[in-house]
Amino acid sequence: MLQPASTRTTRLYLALTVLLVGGGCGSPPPLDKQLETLASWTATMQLAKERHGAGAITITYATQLRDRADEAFQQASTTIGQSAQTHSDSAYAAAALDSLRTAIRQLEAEIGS
Amino acid sequence: MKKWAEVALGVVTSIGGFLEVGSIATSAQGGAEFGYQLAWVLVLGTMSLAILMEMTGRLAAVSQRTYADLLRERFGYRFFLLPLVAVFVVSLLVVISEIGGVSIALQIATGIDFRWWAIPTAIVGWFLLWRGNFTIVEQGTAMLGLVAISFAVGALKLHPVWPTLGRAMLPSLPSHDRARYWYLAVSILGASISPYLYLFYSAGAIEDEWTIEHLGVNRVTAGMGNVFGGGLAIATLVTAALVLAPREIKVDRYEQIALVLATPLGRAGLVFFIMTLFITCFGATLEIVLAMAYLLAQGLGWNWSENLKPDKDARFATSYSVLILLAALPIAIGMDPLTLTNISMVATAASLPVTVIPLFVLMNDGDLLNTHVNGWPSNLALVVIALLSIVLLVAALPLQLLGGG
Amino acid sequence: MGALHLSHDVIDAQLVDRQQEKIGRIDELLLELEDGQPPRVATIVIGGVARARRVGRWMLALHRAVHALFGHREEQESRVPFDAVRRIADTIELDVEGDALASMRLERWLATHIVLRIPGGSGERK
Repeated sequence: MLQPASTRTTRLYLALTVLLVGGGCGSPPPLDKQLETLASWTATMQLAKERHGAGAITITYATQLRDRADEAFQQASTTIGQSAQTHSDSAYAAAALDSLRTAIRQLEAEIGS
Repeated sequence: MKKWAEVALGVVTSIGGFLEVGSIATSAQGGAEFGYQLAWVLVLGTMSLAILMEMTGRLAAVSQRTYADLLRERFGYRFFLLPLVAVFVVSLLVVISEIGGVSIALQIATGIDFRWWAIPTAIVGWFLLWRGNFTIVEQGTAMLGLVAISFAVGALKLHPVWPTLGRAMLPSLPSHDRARYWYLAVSILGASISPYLYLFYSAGAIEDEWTIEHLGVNRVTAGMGNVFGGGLAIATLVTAALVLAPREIKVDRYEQIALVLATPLGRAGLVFFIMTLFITCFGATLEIVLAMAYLLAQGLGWNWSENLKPDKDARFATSYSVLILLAALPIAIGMDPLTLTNISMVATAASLPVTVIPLFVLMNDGDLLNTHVNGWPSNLALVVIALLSIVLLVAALPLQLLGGG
Repeated sequence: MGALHLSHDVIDAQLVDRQQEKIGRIDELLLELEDGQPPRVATIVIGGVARARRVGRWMLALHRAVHALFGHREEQESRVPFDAVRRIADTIELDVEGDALASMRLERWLATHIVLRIPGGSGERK
């Protein structure tokens, strides 16, 4: 009695996986998601700068945050072009990348690296 | 007097046991993206875990048998394979994530990349399991785990809006990103209700030689301990809601989470965060590999006890040794600990039916529990948890795909 | 005392030897068929092969494949006459020496070849 039900669930899951993974792979995340991620890292850099200024975080830790933000920046700069379809999309993308770059530089200036 | 010491110890153990890599990560993500709104999920998870722990503890104290032992004997080997495989797979994922948590804590402290810390962590953990006894594993990590209280201090210092937080204790629907909301809800439930917790707890009742006399201790430990533990998870969510959400910071990497304590508590906050992540994840690593070895040994009838020297239970000791070293490998080759944590929490949630539903049968077996069988309120609660676990099983994979990104 | 349910109380029960050491579980029970006699429960089987057989043919094939990988040829299962049962309670006590059982070969091998070579592997309670 348990057997057919579980096989059916497995098949359903398999079908769902194929459908969703097949549909989701190959294309970068939508533009608004990527913009959110960039804004999130920009804010992370600003908070880290402020916290380091207040003596709350070590240079070791701030450097790691900078490195992670850098990785996010690199990743976005290669994929965001494909997601931006219109002129205004591209302008948004460029501005978001620019803010993050600036924020990373400001944190670097703060921690002196 | 001794009873009270046991109660206090039990409460401390549950606090230390509750907060670990999964609840820290998922609570922080929930708070960052949805403010207080997901607090009700932590309440639901905490209550469910408390009920399951009370029952498996009562079962062990009265029948002198562990849950894994009874799963094999009462349901037969064919059925037993289902929880054995399910719990093994998800526990392995969770223990890998815990080793990831320890490694990230050490990375934040030292600046040395996390992947270098995985193998040394496993070796130190193995050494403690090999040489130490159950008391050391259980109480040592629990006592040190009290640093997690720093999350409560952090949350209070940020002055949460109490009425809003109070309202979030009741379920509500999200205004945006529905798939993400439910995905995080499932992750938080998976992080709260872990099978390894009640399997470990039930084996622990036998290791600590509990009898019918300990039913009171059991009730207080499972109840109060989880209330405190769940409270600390809510505190984590609150700190993220007040530090990260207003700045629209999402948690994409573990490193970002330390900011939730470094903001209200300054340098001490950073240190407390590192210590909490390190100790709770290390403790959980030991408990999970022991829980897996218990499950294997009890299910197959081997000799087992963390209080015996390894040559008296060679298969049991070899099991935890192999498991802890195996679990270090994915982190050592650089798999992202946060991605692993999220996947393992959802997988845990999906695995719950196979360990929750059989409990209903055992808790109503008069041969095992005499007069201590479940009353109708306990049975009602267990049915609700079982239904919840089925919903989690069905929802887990679609939500992982829709909201996991 | 009344009757015992074979599937509820006996099959899969924890076995202990003369020294009360845990030596596995009842993985299978065999009935003995003799001409002119009613069948009777005659043998307790302990071991992975017996367990695999209960799950199905594929599991048995998998089990054999894994053992072949480690170069085991003989099947590591023990057959103990049911007459060796001394006591049936939460555990079932057999009048045997655990160390002499084939199903305990892995336990013995791990103890002597691995565990005892690592410091801290032996001694009294921790």
